[in-house]
Order: sequence, then structure tokens, then C-alpha cells
Amino acid sequence: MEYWNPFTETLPREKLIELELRSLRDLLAYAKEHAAFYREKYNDINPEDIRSLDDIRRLPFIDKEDLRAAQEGREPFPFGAMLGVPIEEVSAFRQTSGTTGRPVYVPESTESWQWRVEVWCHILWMAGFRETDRVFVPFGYNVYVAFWEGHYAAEKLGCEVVPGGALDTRGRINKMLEVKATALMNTPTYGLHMAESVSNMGIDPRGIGIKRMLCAGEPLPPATRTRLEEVWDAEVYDHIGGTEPCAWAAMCRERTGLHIIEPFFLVEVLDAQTMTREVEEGELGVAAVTPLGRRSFPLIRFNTRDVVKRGPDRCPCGRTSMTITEVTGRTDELCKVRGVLFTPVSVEELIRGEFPEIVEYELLLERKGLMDEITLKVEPHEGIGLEQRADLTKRLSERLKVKTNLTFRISLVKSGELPRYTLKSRRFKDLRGCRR
Amino acid sequence: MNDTIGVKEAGALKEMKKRIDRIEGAAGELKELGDGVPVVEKNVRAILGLTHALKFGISDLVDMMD
Repeated sequence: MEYWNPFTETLPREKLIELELRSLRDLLAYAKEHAAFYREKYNDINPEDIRSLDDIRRLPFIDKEDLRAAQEGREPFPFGAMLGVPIEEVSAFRQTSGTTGRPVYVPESTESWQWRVEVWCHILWMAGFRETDRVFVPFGYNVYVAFWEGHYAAEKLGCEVVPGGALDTRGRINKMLEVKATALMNTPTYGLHMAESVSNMGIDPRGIGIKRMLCAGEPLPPATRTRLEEVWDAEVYDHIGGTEPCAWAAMCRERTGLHIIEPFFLVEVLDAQTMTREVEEGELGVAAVTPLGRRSFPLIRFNTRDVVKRGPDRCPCGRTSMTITEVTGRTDELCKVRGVLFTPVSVEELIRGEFPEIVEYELLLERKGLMDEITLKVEPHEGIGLEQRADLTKRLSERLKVKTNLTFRISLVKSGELPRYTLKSRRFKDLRGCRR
Repeated sequence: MNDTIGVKEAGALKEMKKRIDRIEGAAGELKELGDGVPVVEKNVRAILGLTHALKFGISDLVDMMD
């Protein structure tokens, strides 16, 4: 069967929206009754008044700062006013990475966790994962949600899941070869690093039988995805999500965009300036996400700060869910460098798309006197000659200028000098003290 | 019933919803019978967690169409 749930995945859009509005009213009523945050913040809001998508715009947004404020110093520890079930029903603890401040603690009851796993069953099924797959997960699961859901969902699908956490890269590769894995779940960065390591062992990664890869934990620009597909000779799938709302959109076999996982989520893609107007197909907007069936941590209109391009509501795969065609970055990653708006994803796209000789890179943004200076450290393949290094520096400098309208200082470093990341790469470092 | 879902499928959906309700009802009864017994309480909680996923994907759809 092509669909995990053919009834909801092919439902006409107006029916999907009707279903989501019903779920939203239920969630709102539940949240007001069970979570202190909503009793305080939604005091004047009557769930029965939410009858259309326009009505939703009257509900306030929730952002990460709201969640932190609702948890810090509030009982029950550590989930505070966001908790939607009795504390004794919480069976799983997750937290955000804390990259932008104090971590947010996310409680899951058995029911809510199963809801998240069900969302991931949709994602994996859509990407072609089946009972016949042996899925290798080269990642050490921990307090973050990354790969936990994928692991549980793959098991629920009937895949054979091989966790590869407590091993180094060489050990993981050996295990992957030993068990004849057919599928991988990893970060894009680690997917590239593993391919490089496999090659360094004298083995062609394209010949070891990996058929599909689900990437998580980091943005996956099209150029990086294409590169992963080439080096592994595998189908590579992207998704988007976060610890707080769960994964909320993912790729189907067409791999031309991401489907919102409806009716599990009500997603609004809103004009970034006003945050009131839903953007049209082809326009960029900020995603506000409402997970509709998760009661342990109710979230309504969570401002993800993810900037996405809205896609068509039709897809050759037959699914009727709303789509997004690109994830271009995050509103909090956009910064001004010498008066020019800059997003680090543009550099990632350029390097992965046009410079296969670059293995790893790092971006440093510093204040030198009155001026911002942006340095790109690049680590080329081992064995690249002096002449080629000079040519690489020149071409890179020219292409960066065209792509970003900024002048970069290029610094070529030795092989192995830059860090390799397994989760949430930190390739961009803004050292100016404050963001403009 | 909704005309966007075929009659045969709609009938099957309704029957599935009935069975999901029965599972949920039976799990609730089992919980009452085994009140305070960990093996019953904790396994019922797991059953209800899975039932929630089924209700979300199947039962809610039937409720909307009715």
C-alpha cells in the first residue's frame, strides 16, 4: 500500500481543514482545562468560536520564550505551566538543545509519545521504509528527541532497527557492513562524513546496499541532499520539525517538496512582516505549527521561526496535504553583515552544490574595528595540489561574492582540522557579541 | 456520509470505529478490574496510547463525516 493512512492522506483539502478545526477546538478546550499556561493566557477565548482558518488568527502565538517563562520556577518541575497531564503520567523526558537560551523541557505521556511515533510512521512510510528494511542509526540517542521517534516508528513499521550509538565512526561503518543495512537515519553532516570515512577505508559507499536515508537534526539544502544521493547511490529524504512541535512535514517519494503531516498538524505559513497573512504558493513565510493530538504538552500556534516556501496543494503522489518546497532557514539565523542580509544556508548550498572537493567548512563572523569580517575556513580533500588550492580559493571567493554580495576571507585548512558533527552542526559562529 | 469517500470505504471506516471504541471500552473495564495491579494498569495504558493513534487516524474522520 502506498499510503500509511489512505483515508486521511487523500482526503480533499476542505475536509482536512474541517477535521483539523475540530481537533483544534478539542485541543483548546482540553488545554484550558488541564494546563495552567492556557488557563492564564486563553482566559477570554472560547474554543467553540474557532470555526474557520480566519478565526485561528485571533489566537496568540506561542514562542520559545513563552515556553521558557511558563517553565522556569513553576511547578510541577521541570515542565511547569505547560504540562497537560498529571506528572505521574509522564513517561518520557526530552529537552531542546538550549542553543538560544535555557532549554525547554518536553514531557511525553505514553499516549502523547505514541502520537509522535504515529507521525513518524507516516514520515518513514512516505519515504519508502518497509518491513524488509534493516535500518541502521549511527547516533547516540540522549536527552534530545533526535532519532528516538524514528527508531520507535521504524520498529512499529516492522523494520529491523540496529542502533549504532555507542561506537565510533569506524565501528559504525563496520557494524553497518556486518549487518548489511539497507537504510540509514542520520544527520546530513554525518551522512557525508560517513561516506568520506567509508571511502577512506577503500570501500565505495555506493556499493554497500544503502537504498534510502532519512535525514534529521539539521537543515538539508537541495545541494546537500543531491550530494548525499550521489555519494551513497540512495534515495535521501528530508523532513522538518522540532522538539516542541514534533516533526511536522516530510518528503514523499517524489522528493520535490515536503508534505505537511495532516491532519496531525495545522500549519500556517505566514508573511514574515505581518504574521497575519497566509502566503500564496511560491512565497516565503514563517511556519506556525499546532500539533493537534498531543495532550501532555499542548502547543497552539507555535512560532517555529522556520522560513519556508509554500508549495502547491497537489502532488503526483496523490496526497492532498499542503506542501512546502523549501526550508530556507530560520528567522533567528538571518543577520546583517556590513548592512547586507545574510543567511548561512546560502554558503552551505553553494559549497555542497558546486565544490565537491570541499569536505568540511566553518564560517566565522567577527568584528574587526568598525567592520564586520566574515571568514570561511575550508577543508579540501586530502591530496589536493598547491595549484588546485589557489584555484579553489579564487573560484570560491568569486562565487560567494555573487551568491551573497559579501566579500569573504578564505582560509584553507589541513585535512581533519575542522570538527565533524553528529548532530546540529555549529559551522556558523557569530563572534560579534550581539546580533544585528 | 461524505461523498468524497466511497460507500464501501465509508462502511469499513464505520466498522473500524466501532471496533476501536470496543477496544477502548474493554481496556477501560480491564483497568477497573485490575485497579492497583501494575501488570494490568501499565499494559492498559500502553493499549490506550495506541488506541489514541487509531482514534486520531480513523474515528475522528468518521465523527466528522457523520
